[in-house]
Amino acid sequence: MTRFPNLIFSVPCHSRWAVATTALIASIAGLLVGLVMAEEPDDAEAFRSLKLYNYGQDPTNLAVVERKVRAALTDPARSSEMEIRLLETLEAAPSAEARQFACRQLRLIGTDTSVPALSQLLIDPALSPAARYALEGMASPAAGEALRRAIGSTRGTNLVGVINSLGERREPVSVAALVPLLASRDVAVLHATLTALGKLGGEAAVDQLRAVARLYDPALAEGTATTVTLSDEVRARLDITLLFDALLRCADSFAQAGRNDAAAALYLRLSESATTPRPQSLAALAGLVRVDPSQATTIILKQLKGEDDAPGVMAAGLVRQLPLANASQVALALDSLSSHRQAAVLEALGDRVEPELLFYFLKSALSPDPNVRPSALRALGNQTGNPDAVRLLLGTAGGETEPLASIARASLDRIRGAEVDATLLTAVGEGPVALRAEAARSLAARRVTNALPVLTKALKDLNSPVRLTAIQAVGVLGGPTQLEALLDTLALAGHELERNACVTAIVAISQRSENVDGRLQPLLRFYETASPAAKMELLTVLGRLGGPRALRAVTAAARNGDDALRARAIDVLASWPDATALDAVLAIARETNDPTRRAVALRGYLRMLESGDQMTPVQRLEGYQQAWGLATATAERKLILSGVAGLADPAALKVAEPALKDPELRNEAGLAVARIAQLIVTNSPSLAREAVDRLQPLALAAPVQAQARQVLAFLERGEDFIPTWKMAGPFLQPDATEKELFDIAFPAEKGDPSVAWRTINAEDGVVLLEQLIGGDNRVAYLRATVSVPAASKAQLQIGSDDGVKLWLNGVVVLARNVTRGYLAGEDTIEVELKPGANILLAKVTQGSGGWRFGCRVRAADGTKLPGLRFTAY
Amino acid sequence: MAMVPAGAALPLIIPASVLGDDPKPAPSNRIALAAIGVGWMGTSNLESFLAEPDCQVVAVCDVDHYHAEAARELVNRHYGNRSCAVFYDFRQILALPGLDAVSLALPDHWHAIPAIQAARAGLDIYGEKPLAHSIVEGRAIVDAVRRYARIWQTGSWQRSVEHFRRAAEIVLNGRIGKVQRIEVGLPAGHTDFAGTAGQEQFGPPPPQLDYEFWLGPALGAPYCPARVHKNWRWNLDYGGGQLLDWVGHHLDIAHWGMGWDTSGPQTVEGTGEFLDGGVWNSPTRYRLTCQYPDNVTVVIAGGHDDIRSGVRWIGDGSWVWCDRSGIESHPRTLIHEPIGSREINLPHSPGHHRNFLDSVRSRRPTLCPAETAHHSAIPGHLGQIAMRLGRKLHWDAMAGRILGDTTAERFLGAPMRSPWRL
Repeated sequence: MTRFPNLIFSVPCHSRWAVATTALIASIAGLLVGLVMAEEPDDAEAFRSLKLYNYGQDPTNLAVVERKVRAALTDPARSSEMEIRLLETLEAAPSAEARQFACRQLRLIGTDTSVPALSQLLIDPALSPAARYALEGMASPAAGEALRRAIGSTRGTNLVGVINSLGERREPVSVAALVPLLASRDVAVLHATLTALGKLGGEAAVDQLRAVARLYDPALAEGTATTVTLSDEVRARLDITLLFDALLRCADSFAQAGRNDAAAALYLRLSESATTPRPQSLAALAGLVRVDPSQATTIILKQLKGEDDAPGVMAAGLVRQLPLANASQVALALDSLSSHRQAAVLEALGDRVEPELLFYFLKSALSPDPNVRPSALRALGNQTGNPDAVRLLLGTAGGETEPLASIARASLDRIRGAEVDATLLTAVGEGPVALRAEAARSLAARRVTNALPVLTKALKDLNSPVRLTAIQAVGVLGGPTQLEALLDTLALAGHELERNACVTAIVAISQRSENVDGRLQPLLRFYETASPAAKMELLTVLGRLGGPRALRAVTAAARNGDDALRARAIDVLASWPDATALDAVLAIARETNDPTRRAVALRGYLRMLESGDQMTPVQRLEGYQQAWGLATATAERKLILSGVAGLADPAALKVAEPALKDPELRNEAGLAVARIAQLIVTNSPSLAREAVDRLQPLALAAPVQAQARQVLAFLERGEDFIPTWKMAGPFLQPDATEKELFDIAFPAEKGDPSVAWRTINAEDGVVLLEQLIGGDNRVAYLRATVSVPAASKAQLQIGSDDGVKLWLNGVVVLARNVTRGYLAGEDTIEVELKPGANILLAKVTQGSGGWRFGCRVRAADGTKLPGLRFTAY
Repeated sequence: MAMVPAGAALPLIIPASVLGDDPKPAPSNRIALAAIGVGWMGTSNLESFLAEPDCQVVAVCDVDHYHAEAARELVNRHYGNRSCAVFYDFRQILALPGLDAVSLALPDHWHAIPAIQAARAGLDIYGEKPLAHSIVEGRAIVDAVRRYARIWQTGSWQRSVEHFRRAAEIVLNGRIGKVQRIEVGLPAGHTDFAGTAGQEQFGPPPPQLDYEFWLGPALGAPYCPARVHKNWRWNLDYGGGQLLDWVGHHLDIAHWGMGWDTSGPQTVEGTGEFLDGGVWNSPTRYRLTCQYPDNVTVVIAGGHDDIRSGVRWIGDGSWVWCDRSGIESHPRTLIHEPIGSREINLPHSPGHHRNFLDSVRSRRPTLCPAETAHHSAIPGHLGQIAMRLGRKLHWDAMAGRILGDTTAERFLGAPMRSPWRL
């Protein structure tokens, strides 16, 4: 079977059963099951087999019973029949395994009829868990009754299990049955009882639990006359977190049932008791928040003002869940809290959107306390803002240092409210320059498209920061209608920052245009009449946009424009976003007399060749050959060699190898040769070896030699695999699984002379059985001789898909009955080879999917074994 | 279990906003964390927590002593000391004084018990998906986390990956209109993660593994390698197969994009294919059809070629798809359209484990709280029951009940071997 890292889509070929859920499909499935059953054991045989089942035996018939039980689900009469057969198994099967299996099936199909038999098992240590497995989920009251009866007849772990099941069933009537267990001297029983009572809940359970709690804090039992006595020993070992957890569960049940008063009273008692462990105390407070937030707020405020850090922080977290009125109470008390607590409360309050809290956030955002301000500024971002909030955030974003400015900026971009955008729009036109620029930036971030008129106007603002931000904002929000204004701005831009911003904005707007052809129209029209400076920038725009029309325009500029324009056009072409400018830059490199421009063009050409993933290796090689002819500087040739080094083509060696003669290029050329060799080593190992061998006599730098050694090491890794085998098979045995096939001795391993053996070749050391004979659930045999001149310790490195059994000179040296994918050398074993021929026989099993085998022979230390020879045998 | 000392369990924690940029806070201000379950996923999570300078891993625990020792070595090597404590029983970890949080990475049948006990001990919890082994256990975790006001992060880490966030945000903001159908493609088969496929010969467990503890609440079963490490998921007593492994990822993302973090399907039906006999009995190929409110159909499938791996939300003539390899949409421009700062902005994650630690400090819910993970897992659990019974199930998401089918309801939970309980 082929193994994938995460997925297997083919599974071992056992028979499958399917179930469907729609009525129609169910009925078809019923028919299919009926058909399948015709080939399966009948009920009597299947259940007879089940009764005799022990762990380790073939579980196939268990699957048959399971299938029969499932099939019976839609037929009440058949279902009863199955139930009776399962009960017979419970009664008659000698093994616990068979009876446990029957219980599993009764979980699905059992009715009141099964309850007596199952309940008898509750006292059986081996089967009590299985009996509860069937009983616990049965809706029938009889199941609960049986479990309650078992309280009197079970002990220890079995009793604990029964109590646990009663807790899960949540039948109120179980409370009375459990109460006597509170007097148990078995602390495990007591723990289980406390938890079960907590799950059952209700007044009666709470009374009992509070009576236990009285032993730790009398106030917890106030108002209840119930008493419980624990022995000193039990009391000493009692985990009181379970007691308080049970009380909390009861309070939760009250709350869930809408009995908030009862829940609140219990939560409050637990929260106020000094005996309550801290986690339970916090839980009680969290519960109180849900059912009586006013009481909870009082406690939260107390804890927030307290000196103990942990409850204070947790209390701040609970503020998040308070209703608005109570949250406002906490907000009102902000000033009385320490700065860390204020920050924590602001973080909690700030996640909600409440106009009533805006005042507190605004006030805190002006706090001189460096702990408080960031939290308040963050909180403002979630609110429905008013002009005051906007101005505050704007002022902080534009006038404060980091990190406050960034926090305010993020909130400014997020804050909601009808007045926010209007306030920002006004702010673009008036006020300090930094704030006006900040407003323009935020309008873009907020995607306020109706700000475009104001922002377009701001393109001509007298203040450079405002102008610059307006350009960027128009680039984000604008469409074709804003192009002209941006082009005008570009034409007038005196500062490089603004020119670059214009280029980015124009490119962004053009790229958003659905009409790829039409988007260049206004730019080319503008180009005709643009100033030389603007033309230069427009060429950059065209270069960023790319496409055939832009390429034509820039190529024309590279030929016909004035000198500066031509230089810019060549720069743009050399940086073209794809390889379509390849011919244009090559032509320039060939034709120009200017060495600088030739170098720019050539470098652009090489860059495109390297990144041209649409080109074939042959095209790229031709390109490098042309470039070699044009290159004049050593640096350029080094660049070419670097590009050639990435080509997986033996012909690339013809470019690199001649350069080995040039002392200035020898190392680069050597590296290129070694890298090319590495790329071609899989497909052309002999060419790769020859190329690397030619490097050996040269004095090359250490990294080059290391690269060459890697190639040789790789070549060696593929050596010494047995290349040719005799193969027999496939051999099949009906009904045998892949795993069983492993131990079946087919004629080929018994030396049967009638078996036909044929010679086959391994590919790169691997015998591809899946291609040679294919199929599922079968085996093949492979035989070869391994000859050595003298007795040697050797290593056999084996990979197989799936299992493999290996004989060396008739002795089993490896047995791996596995389902796996092929991994060369996954099993490595050490063997003794005798002088002369050693016979190797491999049996390779197949489940489904891939089917492969490979064997490599090396010396015991993993190095090459001298004098090694292989023959198919 | 010893009681957690009342005064020592909670740290001095102040909001992240006031922590400043100190890359390595003082020990007193680090979150003390213990890792329970340090096999495959647990070690990966452990490494993530070790990389966080404001987190101090103080103890590790595993029922496999080799795992536990290797994890201790990893922690000690990272800190350059020998301070990491090692345990083989999680209850001893929960009793440690001064602990703030635990990272749980255990087989599914062991998800609920330590989680609930950790909540009871006042600890915050990073837990793996699926949230639990059954719907009842999931609900019990949710209730315990809520009861004890704990922070919970589920290992549904795709919520912390930008392109999944982006995909969900696009759908949430109505960019593909009314969603009609969602296709959730999951893996099929049984992946032999441990190389123990077929190793089902029963025998004594290796001495380093406390196998009885490993089985814990599950019904007794003899040891064999195929049952345990990395491959337990393929047996329904301990895991939920590929379906439950992956609903916590791709269906979780599907829910995220629909704002279904606390809601679920109305009906679930499905078919599955299973192997006969053997230890691995989870479905190898499956297809569930879930009907959600507002007439949205969700198909969850493994091994069905018509359902592409990942999540595809299909709206009015347009769609968005994502999986771990990336995001695609029709029309293509959809995924490049900006989402305004005043639209629904899903949170950018600083990293899934980082997000958990931040929440431990701020007490703000994580990206994937327990309730969310519970609802992501429910369709998978219901699908298992539907496949087992061969019929459509009607689900009341608010009440957390199967309607009109008492047999199906038996499988909402799995009775536990004593003494274990929720």
